[in-house]
Amino acid sequence: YHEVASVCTLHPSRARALFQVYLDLKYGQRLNVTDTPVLRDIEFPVVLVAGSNDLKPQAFVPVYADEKLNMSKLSTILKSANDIPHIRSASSGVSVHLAIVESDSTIAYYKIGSDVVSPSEGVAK
Amino acid sequence: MDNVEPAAEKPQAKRPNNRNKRLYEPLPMVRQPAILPRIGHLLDHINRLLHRTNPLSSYLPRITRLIHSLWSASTQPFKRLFYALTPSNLFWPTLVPAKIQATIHIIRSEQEIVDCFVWVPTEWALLWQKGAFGKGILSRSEPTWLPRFTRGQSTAASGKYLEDITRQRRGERQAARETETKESALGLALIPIPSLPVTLEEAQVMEPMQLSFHESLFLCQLGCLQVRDPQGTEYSYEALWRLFCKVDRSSEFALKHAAYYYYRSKGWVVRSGLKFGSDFLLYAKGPAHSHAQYSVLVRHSSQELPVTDNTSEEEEQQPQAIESWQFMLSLSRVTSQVRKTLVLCYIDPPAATDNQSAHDLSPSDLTQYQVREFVVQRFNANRM
Repeated sequence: YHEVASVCTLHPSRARALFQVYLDLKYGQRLNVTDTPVLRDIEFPVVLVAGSNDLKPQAFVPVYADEKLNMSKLSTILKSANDIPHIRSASSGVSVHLAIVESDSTIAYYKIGSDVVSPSEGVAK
Repeated sequence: MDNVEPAAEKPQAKRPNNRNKRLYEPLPMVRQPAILPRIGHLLDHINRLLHRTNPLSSYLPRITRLIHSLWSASTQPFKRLFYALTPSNLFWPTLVPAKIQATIHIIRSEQEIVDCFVWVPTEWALLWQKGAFGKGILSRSEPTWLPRFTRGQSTAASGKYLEDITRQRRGERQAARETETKESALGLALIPIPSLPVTLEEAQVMEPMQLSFHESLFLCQLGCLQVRDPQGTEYSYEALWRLFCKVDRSSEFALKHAAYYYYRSKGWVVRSGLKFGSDFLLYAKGPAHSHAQYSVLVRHSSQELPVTDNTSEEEEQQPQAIESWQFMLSLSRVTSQVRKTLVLCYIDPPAATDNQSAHDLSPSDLTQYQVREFVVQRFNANRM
């Protein structure tokens, strides 16, 4: 807990989600967690995980399973995530991972993005 | 459960015929829930007989409850004496249960409680074996992080634990794909840590078991769980109820706990359905034994049907359904693809609580809730 204590103390309403996502990513999934910045406009702490080779870091946004997210909040999350220097993208689209946390520490990860997949990219995948 | 091998496929058990079946059944009293004694006993068999949740028993609910309560009261002293003479929790965890110690961590913001979570640091093995309660915070279900860490596994999976089997299967699927991009799989895009900066002493206490709010309340009501905060203050069932209702963000905690209690008292092992888009998953024995059979979506009874063009004005004034048929059908599709059956569980709370908030609800009001279940299965006429 001491690794994220400072952020949790400043944002107690997001503390449990941040702590459990941090634990799961670093010690459960054994990923290289680099930082825990805070999204500016929405005051959501996120977990940054280093990407491999030339890929930029991935941002994981902890949210609660019983928390209602509307489109406005999602848009703010994506816009604020783009402001993080490490994952700022030159292109128009930005993507983050939502880490949805249940009360029994079950976490479901979903990737959301604001870019539109062109038909050529969809065929390649 | 050290050796978790992929279970051989068994013929699927015959599903109950739920057609035209609407169970207006109040929540049963504590029957003899998921924690069942391994060794049968005459008293337990008689208890089950008297409190069987067969639909036919709904015709005589008051008489059966009266007989059960008298029987329980008359045999309780003998059961307590028997249990007092035996080692803790070998045979009768539900009658004179061992008190599992749990710690509740409360998060405050300027003296106001905003969140909490319940951990069982050391005595979780019994909870897992007797009803599959809880989840390791660093594992998929049963806490297995410590043996995996001490084993030093970092290369090929040995197939010993559930996480190893999952990793092995994912590796096989990825290897079988012809075209693979760098960012198509989360594991390929992110750098894994070769070794964790954790000492062996720290590893011993790294993974407690976390109980969900519903599990904590259920076990506390049974008397199996003793919840204290780090300062030593004990939290009673009513105190936990008020606390969980307060921190719940959905305002539907009472409804979901009523459904949880309902299915647990029927003997189902109830787990979180977050990963499948539902509220609960129902297992016959637990995640370690088989996959879940049912995926349950819990809703208030006023949210039964979506509004259509033929909806009358009176019906439109009722609380509207949140989900559309599109959502329901997509959820049904997802559920069927993972070989589960979707169950819509509509909870009808007592009328007196309509103007009350969840904080004002008394835990005993749970017995006044009514439950209706509908099974949703897609029918494909082409496959007749």
